[in-house]
Amino acid sequence: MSFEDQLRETLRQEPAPADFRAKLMARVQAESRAAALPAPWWKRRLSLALAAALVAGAVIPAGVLEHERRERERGLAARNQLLTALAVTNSTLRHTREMIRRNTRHS
Amino acid sequence: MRNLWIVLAVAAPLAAQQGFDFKSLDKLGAQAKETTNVTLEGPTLQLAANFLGADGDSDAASLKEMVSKLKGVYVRAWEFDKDGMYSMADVEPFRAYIRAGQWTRVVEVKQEKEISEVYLKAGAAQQFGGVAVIDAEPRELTIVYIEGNISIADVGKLSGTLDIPDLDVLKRGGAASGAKGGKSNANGKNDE
Repeated sequence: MSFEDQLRETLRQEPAPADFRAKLMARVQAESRAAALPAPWWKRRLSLALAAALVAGAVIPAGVLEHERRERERGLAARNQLLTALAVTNSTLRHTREMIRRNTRHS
Repeated sequence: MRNLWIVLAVAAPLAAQQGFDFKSLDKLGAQAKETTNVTLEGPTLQLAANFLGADGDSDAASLKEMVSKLKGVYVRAWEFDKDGMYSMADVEPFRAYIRAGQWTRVVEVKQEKEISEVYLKAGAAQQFGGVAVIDAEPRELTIVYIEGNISIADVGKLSGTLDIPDLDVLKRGGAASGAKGGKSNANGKNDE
């Protein structure tokens, strides 16, 4: 086969299948319908940002308050321990002083 | 051999700086009717100082100033049901630790079966590096160890010129929960 014949064979027009037009139109319509439909709300950026802000707004202050409450509790517990330690020291030193006084009186 | 000397040269001062292991005294709590166990040091001690005055503590400012210069406050006190539940040998490791350091015994009082000793640690000019007290009665034993800069005026404050709440008042107010009211620990720091 000559080159010209090969080219002619390759470029030979063939009729489209009978349902080609119908299939093509159906597909085009389906794709345009899908493109026209809005994304569900949970897939929209604005909704996601809003939801994230709401969650952050609810969780962060609660977390901060809880942290502050725990720190205050820890501080007050430590303060109570310190006062206890000072009270024991105070009473012990007073006892020592009292013993010295008694010893001095006896001698 | 040279390396060994270097290790020894580094380790010896570190060993000397090691604090007393108060856990070694905790066995006394097993036989005690009441135990007070307070360990406050570093950030916890300063946190405690920051909360002084939170409930209208009187003399809070003066106490805060004193406590801000301290490194550690350790108190162990035991009350026993009967005589002879402890011996002075139990206290000996603490005494030995004090003797090995730069502490001077400034008070030693003995009366019948009672012994009271007060030690001060050498510090900077006009200041001491700490105060330690051993108070032993037949049914009560108290050990106080306070480390940090402390003046003679502070020792005076500790022994009564400040309005430090009385233990009974603390007990009634619930401040000393676990202290002098049972065998629970009252540590500012986790010993465990």
